[in-house]
Amino acid sequence: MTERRPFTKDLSRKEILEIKACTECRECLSVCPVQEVTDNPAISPPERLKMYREFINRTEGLKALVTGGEVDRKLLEDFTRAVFECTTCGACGEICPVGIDTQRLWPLLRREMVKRGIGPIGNQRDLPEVIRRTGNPYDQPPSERYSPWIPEGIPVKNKAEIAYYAGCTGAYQAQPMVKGDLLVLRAIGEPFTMLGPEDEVCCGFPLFITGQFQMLESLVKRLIDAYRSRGVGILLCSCPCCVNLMVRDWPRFYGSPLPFRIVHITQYVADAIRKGKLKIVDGLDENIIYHDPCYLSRGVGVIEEPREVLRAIPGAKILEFDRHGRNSRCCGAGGAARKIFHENAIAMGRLTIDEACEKGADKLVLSCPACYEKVNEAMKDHTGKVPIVDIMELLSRLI
Amino acid sequence: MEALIAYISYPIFLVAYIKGVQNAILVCRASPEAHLHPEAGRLSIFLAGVLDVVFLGRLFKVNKALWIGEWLFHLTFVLTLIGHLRFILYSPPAWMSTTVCIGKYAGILLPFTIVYILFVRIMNRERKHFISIRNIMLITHICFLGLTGVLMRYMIRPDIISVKHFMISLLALRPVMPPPETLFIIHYLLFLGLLLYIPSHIIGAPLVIIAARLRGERAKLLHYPGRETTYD
Ligand code: SF4
Ligand code: SF4
Repeated sequence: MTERRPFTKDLSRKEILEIKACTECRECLSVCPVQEVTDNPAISPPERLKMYREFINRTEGLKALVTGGEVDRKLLEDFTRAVFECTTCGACGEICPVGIDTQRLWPLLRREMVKRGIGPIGNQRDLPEVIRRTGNPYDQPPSERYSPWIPEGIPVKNKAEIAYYAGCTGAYQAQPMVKGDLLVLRAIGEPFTMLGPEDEVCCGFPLFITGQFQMLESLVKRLIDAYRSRGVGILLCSCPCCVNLMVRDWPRFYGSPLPFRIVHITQYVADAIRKGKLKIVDGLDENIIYHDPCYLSRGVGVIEEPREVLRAIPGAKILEFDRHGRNSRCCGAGGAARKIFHENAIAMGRLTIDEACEKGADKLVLSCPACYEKVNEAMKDHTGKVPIVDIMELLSRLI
Repeated sequence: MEALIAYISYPIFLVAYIKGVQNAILVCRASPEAHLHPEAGRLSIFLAGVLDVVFLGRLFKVNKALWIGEWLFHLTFVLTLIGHLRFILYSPPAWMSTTVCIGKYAGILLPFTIVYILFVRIMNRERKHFISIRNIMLITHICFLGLTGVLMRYMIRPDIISVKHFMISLLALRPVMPPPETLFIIHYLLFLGLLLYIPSHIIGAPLVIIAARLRGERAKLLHYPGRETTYD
């Protein structure tokens, strides 16, 4: 079977240039977590970009005269598998001497494979239907979105300047994290609102990251209009993936600038600590190590604020991973690859755990629900053990 | 043989030209980036991006040993190319004598930079997949191109007038026989090979490096309190 659709059809100028710009220097192989656990250069960034260039050449370049503008299905399947095995962590783009924005490019190349009916892989295909039916990618009842974890006595207003978006992964898979968020928000004491459990639907990230863009516009409009009707000026969220999509892509899908600002919870809390609105009462005489989530550090540049929050804990000694900040190593949870390429994700999670242990950390602090879920899973049956805690979960115990 | 060389030049020029035009069309007809943040247009950021291109600033940050080799390689390559302009002009302008002089030294340095790059890559044992076969072939190719050039300058000098005559006749579409020196023929064939082999990053990479600088600035924009967050 062959394909004729131009491979550049839905790509922008910048993306085409990026595909052509790879010098095959292979610097990125040294930081790619997938390479670290698979040691398979055939699925590395330069190989993927080379494959994609070949697709373009065979369908639109001089080679099309020889190939008849056709690309073999097997090649497309190999590419699809390679691009979906990636965690989209963006470490390759960070180290890349050319600066290819890979965190952005890989989902767009995935989208092309989806349009050709080759991607996504496995049960990722079910995501649009599951989200359409339940409003979340985990096929969980929307009515139970908040009930198992929302603490008693949290004063959620109907309308407020500040809104809190829990996100599906936090609400269904990393509940101590979102519970911690709400306890800290309560302690700060500024009024905030939340959408009802049936109205707080998926932000669209799982669809975006798997290249399935069909429903994005309607999801985004639904959420933005709901927050707008509650008079929201600041939308707080703790999930780096949601924040990333909200900041970078919601305006595109909404068709205009957002009527409110997006703020990551660590930014809001760091500011509250600075202004004396939040007091940390108890200290912590421990070594804590903070893992930068790829979509928070490389994605939107929130690196300093989580550290500012941790530094405010009396007695806590903050350690750093060898690779931290914009260069942090993926814990394996990203890119919707963690369910399909489960073993890769577990192996990557264990690298993070092992380094935390080697550094002598008493606690591994995370600030992403996907990391939280996967690193906890990676710890099961693993020799290395370190208590894992979300940054707001930790803070909520000390205020 | 010489006549053949004159005539195979044209299909190769044509293929290289078509490849270039096709790439340009692909890029031009695609849509521009949507929702670029206003910061993206700032001149200072753009100029910082241009400096990144000229000094390979991003490579400097990640691999200093390689950076010096790569930077010298690109510099000497460009200077050598400029020095070659005199071969396509019957009476080069006076200022070109400087470029010829610089190009002469750059040409000598060029093969050494390549050997150095290979050395750095091979010595980097931490990285198992340190270099691609394609890159080995490309830089070996350029190394031989440089070496034959150096040999011609210092050992077996071809008749410079007939070299010029040949080059200018090619451009005027009235090809004459190239000088019969074997070394020149090899050098010229290697040049033709390079034209076919020209990597696509030559045009793409500088533009992407500039865009990366804009992206770096953009990532600083999610600040609370105070800044707008609706970018890209
Ligand atoms: S985004 Fe991360 S996982 Fe994917 S290729 Fe780049 S470094 Fe590897
Ligand atoms: S670091 Fe960038 S230019 Fe080098 S091989 Fe990787 S993607 Fe290509």
